[in-house]
Formats: sequence, structure tokens, C-alpha cells
Amino acid sequence: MDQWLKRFRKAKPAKEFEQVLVPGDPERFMETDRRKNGIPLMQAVVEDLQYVAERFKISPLV
Amino acid sequence: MERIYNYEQLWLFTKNVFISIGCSEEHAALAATGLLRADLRGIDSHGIARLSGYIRLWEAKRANATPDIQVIHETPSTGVVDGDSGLGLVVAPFAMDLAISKAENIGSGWIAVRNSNHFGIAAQHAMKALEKDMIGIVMTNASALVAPTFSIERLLGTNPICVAIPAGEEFPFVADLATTTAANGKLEILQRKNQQAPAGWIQDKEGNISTNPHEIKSGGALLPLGGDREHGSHKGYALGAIVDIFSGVLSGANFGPWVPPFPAFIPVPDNMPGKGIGHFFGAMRIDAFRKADEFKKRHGSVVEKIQKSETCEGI
Repeated sequence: MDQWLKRFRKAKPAKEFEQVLVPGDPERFMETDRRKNGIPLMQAVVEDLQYVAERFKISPLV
Repeated sequence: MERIYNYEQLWLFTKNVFISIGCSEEHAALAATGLLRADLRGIDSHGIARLSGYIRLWEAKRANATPDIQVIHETPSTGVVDGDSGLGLVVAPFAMDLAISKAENIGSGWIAVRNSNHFGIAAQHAMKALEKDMIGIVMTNASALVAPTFSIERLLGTNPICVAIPAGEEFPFVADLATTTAANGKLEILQRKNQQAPAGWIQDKEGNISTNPHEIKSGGALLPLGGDREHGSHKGYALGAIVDIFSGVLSGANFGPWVPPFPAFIPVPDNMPGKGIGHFFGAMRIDAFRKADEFKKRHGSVVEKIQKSETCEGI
């Protein structure tokens, strides 16, 4: 599997691309970034969650 | 506008919400971890943005916070699980664990699930197999938004398939894909921003290719992977159908247009043929085929290492 993955990750990219990916790579990059730098939530989602917090009287997100 | 939160903060909040609806401590933690994995992996439409939707399903008595999850049929390699209307985030780990334990015993395990709800992202469950040197396979059906090729009727969900394959030193292979050209979450983003969709994502109520993302709310449909017949949409339709049959028909869950919708304000369909939504889980032990180390590592790497070390000694 390592050989398979290496071969595909090292595939020659087309000129407008830097790198060829294997399924799961974009999600993994994102996970590394968000564990370190946090998860952005849209304002509408935050408001929705504040409503949920009030509904159950639990500490809201700050 | 966006605000940034750290994972632990969102996890604790989510767990507290699940405890508030009556989930056990253990189930609440499991559900929070499962849900937030979507946010971590950038599948924002399937993460904490759905939490209030889960609450509304619970309020509508369509999601059970204290399910009695049962194995209702089984053989050494297969089983059917009834999720008792539990959160899919709780039912799915139960079923995946069962598939893994069957694989540990006899090589592979295959579990069909009925009477469940939305389970977050498929990869969260399939990747559990990786730790055990197994291949994980996960599918689920979902409420109908997708028209089969040549149809104007919405009969399939976005019906994802995930296959996770372990590796040695490389990062694993984890394919998690909706069987539509675009996942519904991507369409929702365009709806919010009032932007046009690329051709091939959706059609209007008469079956014309459309680029208006709001078309889906006025009788339009998402298109199977490929978009139209010329671009192979019949293959996407076939993939989505396979997922629906494995998840819905094999388990005794609902299928096709009868899969209950996620938004609690949309009534459940009449004359539902099964129970809840359906999932399918598989686990295959690598060493049921060849030695796990051999599979995971580069073929011939052991030989190569020996050759290298000999050269060094020779110098």
C-alpha cells in the first residue's frame, strides 16, 4: 500500500497544479490545520447554537 | 462572517447538548466526537451546523436519545442491527464495532442497519477499521434529493460510500464520496451566497440542466455523479442505487423516496416500507488475504533494506 500511495502522491501534476492527491488527503490536511488553529463557524451557525444553549440552559459558546 | 472556536470547546458544548436531550454520558461523548469529526475534516455541512437539526428531530420524537440498539439477525460474518430510532452517531459506532469484531473472528464482518438516523460523515466510522489493520467500508442512504438519469422524480439521497484502507508509513487511503456530482452541503453554500452552480449539479423540475442553486427548493433535483447521460450520470445513478439497496433494502430500513427527511419540519413520507434510515458497514481483515505488514509496506522493501545495509557494510 505504501508503494501504491507513494506512486500516486508523486504522480506528475498538470501545469496548473502543485501536487497530486490521494483520496482522504484534503480532509487530513484540513484536520491537521483545524486541530491546531481552531474551527471557523459561520455567524448563522453560532446564533443557532446560542439558541440551543438557551433552550437547554447550558453554558453558551463564547 | 466567521468566528473561530477550538475543538475541545465545541466538543464539550456538543456533549452537553446531547446530555440535555437525555443521552447517557457515554453516548453523548460518542455522538459529539462523531459529529465534530466532520468539522475537523472540513465537511462543515455534516458537523456542528447540524446539531440544532438533531435537536429538532428529537423534539419531533423522530430521534431517540436512549435507544435500545439490538442485533436482530446474525451469522458469523453478517448481521442486521435495529437502531431503535437512535442517533446515527450512536448507532453507527455500535454497528461498525460489530462488523470489526466479526472480522476479528472470521476474517470479515458485514452489518446492515435499519431504524437509524443521520450518522455524520461516513469516514468517521470506516476509519475505525484502520486501527485494526482492516479495510472499512461504510454506506448510508439519505432522504431523496437526487433524480435517476432520465427522471424528474427525486428517488435517491446523496448516498455516500466510504472505503478506508490502512497503510504503513504513508497516510491511509480514505475515499468518502457522495454519489452525486456535488454533495448537498456544497449546494447549500451556493444558496447562502446566492451564487450560480456549475452545470451538471442540478436540474429544474422539468429535467432541464440548471445553474440556479435554489431550483432544488422548487421541484428540482440534484444529479447523480456525472451530471447527465453524456457524462456518465447513469454510472452515478447506479452507484447511488447500490448504496440505497445495501443500506435500505438489505436491512429493512426505508429506501428510495421513503427515506425520512432530516429536517424535522418536513413530514415523514406516507406508507413507509421500512424503519428509519439505513446504513451498511463492512470490515475486512487484511491478514485474511496476506500478512498485514506485507500489505501495508512497500512491496520488496524488506529486500531493499537488506541490500542497502549490505552495501554499507561492504564500504
